[in-house]
Amino acid sequence: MNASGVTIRHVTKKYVTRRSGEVLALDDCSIVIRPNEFFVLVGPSGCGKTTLLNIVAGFDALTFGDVSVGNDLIAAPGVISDPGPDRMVVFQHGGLFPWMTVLENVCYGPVVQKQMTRAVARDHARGMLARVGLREIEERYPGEMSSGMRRRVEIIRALIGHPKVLLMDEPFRALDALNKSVVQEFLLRLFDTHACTIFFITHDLREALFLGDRVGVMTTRPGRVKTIVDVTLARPRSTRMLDSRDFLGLKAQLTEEVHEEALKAFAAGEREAAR
Amino acid sequence: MNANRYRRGIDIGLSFLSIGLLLGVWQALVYLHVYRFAYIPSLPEVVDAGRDYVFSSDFVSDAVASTLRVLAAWGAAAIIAIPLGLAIGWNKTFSDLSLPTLELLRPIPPIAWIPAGILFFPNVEGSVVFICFVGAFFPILLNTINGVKQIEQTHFRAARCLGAGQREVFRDVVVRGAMPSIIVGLALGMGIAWMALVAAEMIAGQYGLGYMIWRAYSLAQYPVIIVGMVAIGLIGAGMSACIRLFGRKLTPWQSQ
Repeated sequence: MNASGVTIRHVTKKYVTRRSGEVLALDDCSIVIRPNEFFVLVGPSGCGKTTLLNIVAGFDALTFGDVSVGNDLIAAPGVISDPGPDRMVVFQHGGLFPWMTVLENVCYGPVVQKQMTRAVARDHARGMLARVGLREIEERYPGEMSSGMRRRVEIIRALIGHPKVLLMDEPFRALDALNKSVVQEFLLRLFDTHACTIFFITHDLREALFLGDRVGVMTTRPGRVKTIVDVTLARPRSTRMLDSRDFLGLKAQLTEEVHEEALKAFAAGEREAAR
Repeated sequence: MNANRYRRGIDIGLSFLSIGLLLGVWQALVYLHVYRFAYIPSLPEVVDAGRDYVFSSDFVSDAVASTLRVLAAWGAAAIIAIPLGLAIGWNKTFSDLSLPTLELLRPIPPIAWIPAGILFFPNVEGSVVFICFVGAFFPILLNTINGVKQIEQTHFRAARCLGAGQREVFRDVVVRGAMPSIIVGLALGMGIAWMALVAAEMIAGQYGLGYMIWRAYSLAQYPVIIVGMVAIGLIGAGMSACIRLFGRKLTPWQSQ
């Protein structure tokens, strides 16, 4: 599969809860992610970022609008295509199977899709793990590794099937600062060497600018794309850039955009609490 | 390494001390005539009775009969309860259909089934095995259901993303994810099967360890009662150890 763009047009999502009735989670949300682009979406918590990603992944239905990946229509009102290897997800709390070794986890996709025999998949997975320095841990179970290591393996498992787009939902949220920067660099090296499109969600602005080609800022609920910031930092990127003047300038700009929304979200929360 | 061996030595020593304390307290109570302990046989009497009894053909056939009954009942319970539990845990419709009935039957203790079992089955063997089956069935079933329900949604989603169909999700997520809990259920089920067995044999049996204990009581062969109890304890502990060992083989990802 080749890396494809993702077109999200006028996506609106309403759902009904018993407590607060009808909730508008996403309101007329449009994003065009280009093929081979690293697109990051930031916004205050509860703004619908994850809902949008779940719609693209096929876990959730939309109310209005449509989503396509490459030339395939993924979601529209009444249309929901099952999750599949073309839109691989790296999960917020980690999605490796605890009952499989690293090697079995990485081989799982190609084997279950009958793309490769088990033996071929093993060789392929071994080669891929060796290239990224994870060869020694291939017989370990996820429970026997650090969380940073688990994230790296999960990224490899996601990339081995060459998805059209890689969907990452705050994958590094639970990592400590040191692990986080190691895994971020790991992801950047893979992005430099593998053709892939990435749709990445975070609320860490530093992470957004360090990783992304463009960063979309979402408004507080109902979520809508407010602005898109072009990250004009050259690739390959390194942690040294985090102190450059360009980076700090972009960060100041992004912080201002997000801060405004965070204040609104806070005020909305206060209002809700007062009710 | 050395420290490890030292630690292991202490562990084994403590295990012997534990059993030694049990025997010591028992003997002290018997010899000091505390309350009615004078009626309870002492260790030498039990060892005497045991030596004669353990090598008699009666004991061997009783022990074999009881073990086979438990194994048959527990095996049948596992064969029915595990697939049923997986289906109930995984499928909402199936769960809605079967859970209310099972919830109603669950609180009935296996011993309460004894008269109904005797009425229903034409022979003693059938009713005894049935009562053990009832005892083993619910712990296995409930732990299997729980095991499936505990699997994180992320794992189902990850499997579907990776291209697994319904069959593969069942095989690679539902069954494997529920496995640790299924093994807990199997071990609990084994314990309760023994409990139910002894009660059933005391009431309905014509042989078996439970029957043997009851007969020894009726014939005032008190040391033999203790021999029977110890035999049940040892066989039960051996079976639990087998299940734990087998469970570790099936779930190598569980940290020891």
